[in-house]
Amino acid sequence: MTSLLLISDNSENLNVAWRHFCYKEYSAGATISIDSAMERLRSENPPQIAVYYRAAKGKGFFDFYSRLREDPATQNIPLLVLTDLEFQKVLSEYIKLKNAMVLGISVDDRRLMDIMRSAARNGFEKIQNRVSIFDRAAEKRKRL
Amino acid sequence: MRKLLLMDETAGAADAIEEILNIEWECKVIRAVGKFETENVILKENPALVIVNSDLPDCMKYAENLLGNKKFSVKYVFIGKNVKQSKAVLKKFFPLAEIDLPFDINDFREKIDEAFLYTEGQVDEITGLYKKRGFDYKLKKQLDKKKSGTFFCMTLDAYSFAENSAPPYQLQLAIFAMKSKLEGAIIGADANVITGFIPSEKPREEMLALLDDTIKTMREAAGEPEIFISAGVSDTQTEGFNAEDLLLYADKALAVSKDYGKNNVKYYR
Repeated sequence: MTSLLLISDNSENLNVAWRHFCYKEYSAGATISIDSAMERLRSENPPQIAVYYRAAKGKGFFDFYSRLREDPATQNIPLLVLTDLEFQKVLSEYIKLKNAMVLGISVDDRRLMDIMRSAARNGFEKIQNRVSIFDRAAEKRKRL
Repeated sequence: MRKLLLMDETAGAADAIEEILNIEWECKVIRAVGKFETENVILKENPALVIVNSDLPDCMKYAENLLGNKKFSVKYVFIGKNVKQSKAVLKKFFPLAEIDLPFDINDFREKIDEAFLYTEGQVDEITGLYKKRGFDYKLKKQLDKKKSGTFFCMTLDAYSFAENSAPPYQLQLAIFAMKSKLEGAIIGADANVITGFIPSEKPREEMLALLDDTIKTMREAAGEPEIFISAGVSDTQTEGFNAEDLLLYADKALAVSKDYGKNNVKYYR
């Protein structure tokens, strides 16, 4: 079972995000406050993965991310960002996120389950490295 | 409130940049791309900085247009993939910073903060050292985060300085040597008095040796006529994180070090 903490900037967004995680596979907590999220992530038994749900025009993601990575107790916790296409593009093109993965809101739940399972074991950095190796191989095949 | 103009067509980029910058200080980010749009924003809002995405040809075209217009004196920051390698951009615009995409949030905030300090006149244009207000601001930011380090107060003296009212060239050479020796330090200057903070958790002996070595390098770089450097040192490990106290202690140690003769470094006890 993968334990996670779901964070968003308001409760309506949390309800929307919840539908991705209402399976037996997960044990999940949720919060709309960054302070409370940091407190839980700093606790003795922190969740394995932090999930930030950022809907259109939401605020607070960067504040949360900065605090998460600055705190030695939480800096290695993998972070999954679920967001809309616009913000997904901004994050992937502009921002270097550490041990994090950005997925669109419309992600398939089964695929998400696989990603979460793997991230709980190894974090997101290894998954991304693997993806980039596959991408490079695919590019090479195209060129040939 | 600090204001900047973002010349970038990507939807959502301005909001993200505004959110990143607003974590530490208030900043308004205005997005504009077209020729008249950018000119209007500059006239109306008078932003201190213009960030240009060099990957987008349209943005580059309008940035060049601004550069050619004598009505505006704009300070640029460039972002883009491999912008640091684009020598043509750097030669033409003389940007205050070049930031490769994707960027680390803290690095980005730090570089933009630095660029703003420059536009606010808090950085000496020749030496790149902070003036009083800029130095206090940077130091407070560091000490608020409770980052350990060593604080020093230094005077540079030479017999020839008294006769020459212009900023002496020798002083500049010594300062450049100091900057290369103390990388990552926050250094401020007011005439021939230099104050600085070196973020480090190394023990006193090592820091004393480093400062001794720095003084030696500075004197060598300054050449003839000989200059004399005295320094007083205090650190956060024993004196806490109050910037005013640390400055005072380093200053007291400086007075003691001068009593001991020329070219000495003394710790506050």
